[in-house]
Amino acid sequence: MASYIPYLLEGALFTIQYAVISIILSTIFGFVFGILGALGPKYIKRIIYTVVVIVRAIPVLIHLFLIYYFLPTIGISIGIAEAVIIGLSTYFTTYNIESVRGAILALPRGQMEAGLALGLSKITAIRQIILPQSLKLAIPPLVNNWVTLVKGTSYASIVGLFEMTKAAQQTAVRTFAPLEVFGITLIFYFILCYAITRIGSYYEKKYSFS
Amino acid sequence: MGIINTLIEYFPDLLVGSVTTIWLCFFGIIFSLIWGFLVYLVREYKYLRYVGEVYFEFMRNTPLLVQMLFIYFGSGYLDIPIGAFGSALLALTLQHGAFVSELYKAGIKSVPVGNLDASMALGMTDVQSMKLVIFPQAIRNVIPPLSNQVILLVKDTTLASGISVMEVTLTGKVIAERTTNSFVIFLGIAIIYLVINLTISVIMKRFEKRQN
Repeated sequence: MASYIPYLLEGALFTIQYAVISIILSTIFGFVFGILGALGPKYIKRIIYTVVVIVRAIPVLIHLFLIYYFLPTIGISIGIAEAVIIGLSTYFTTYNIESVRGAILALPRGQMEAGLALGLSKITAIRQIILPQSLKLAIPPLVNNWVTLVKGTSYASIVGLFEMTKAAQQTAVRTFAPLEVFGITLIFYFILCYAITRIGSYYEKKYSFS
Repeated sequence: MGIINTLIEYFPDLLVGSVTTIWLCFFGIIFSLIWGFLVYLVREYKYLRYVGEVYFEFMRNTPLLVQMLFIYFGSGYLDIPIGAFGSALLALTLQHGAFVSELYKAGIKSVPVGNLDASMALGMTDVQSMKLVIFPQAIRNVIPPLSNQVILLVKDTTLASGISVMEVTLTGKVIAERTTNSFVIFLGIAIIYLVINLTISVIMKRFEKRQN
């Protein structure tokens, strides 16, 4: 069992790597499309809303399989790691869109109008008035999404990606010690997700001075 | 044309697989609603509260798939005969029960305290006031987030494929290895999940309306 610790650690590093990349991408896209979904032209709002509803009705795992098998059919050949990163990023973008959109719509309408009345351009009003205020509201649900995303990386092991869960499965089969191996794996995920939750509530407190 | 032919050819197989998925959803929903209530009671009860909190945090911060693997391989190792389906169901119940308990907690908290005081003043016992005054009001607040949770549970049943339960995802995976249009199979599965989830949200909406 002890000789497999480096192997598990390798898997853990892969998990962290995939999670961090997907969190960054999905948060950036979540903000871009979330702002458009709240303040953009009407037809763009409708398109974003429809896509979000459809994607969120599909399980993560099916979405990962769809991306993995679909991209090669249109001539994009990618490895499994790239497919999973694209899959997780796009899937959780829809979650982040909802969080950002909800946070912006929760602000009083007058905020935007006041900004425009002061002669700010729409972009400046969004950047200096809407975003700082909605960020505060968006942080708790965003952190929740990040935790869900970290948990989602484990599902990629079913698609065939090597990460923590896959490493644990292989180790469990070889060592005949499933309780220890999966126990360690559970603790690893717990520490990772709990850390994110804690960091999230720290920033939540820091920004909620008003 | 190949796409539609593949879909027509294999859709019956997928439907056979989704029967297992639907059973998993059905029992998963019922058990986690009940288990969630028990967890809620533990989380409200004096010193046991801390045990409930630790349980909730642990469930919230670990992936369902690893819990399933732990239960599946662990039960095999300890000779507990619950099988793959039972392990998947147990993991679903344990995890979603924790989330459901949080929803019950929020729902009951949303009923103003004055209601409890008033029912006490009318001479009702604890159990009576809970049953006749608090719960009927709390249920109305709980149903919308609960229908969300049910949809999350339905989506999580795909993970049972990770421990060899022959539900719709694993069926699809097996078929996908035999065909050239693999992605069409998963498109079919996505459609099945869309239909299940939309049906649930329509039913829940109707139920919600009747409650009001």
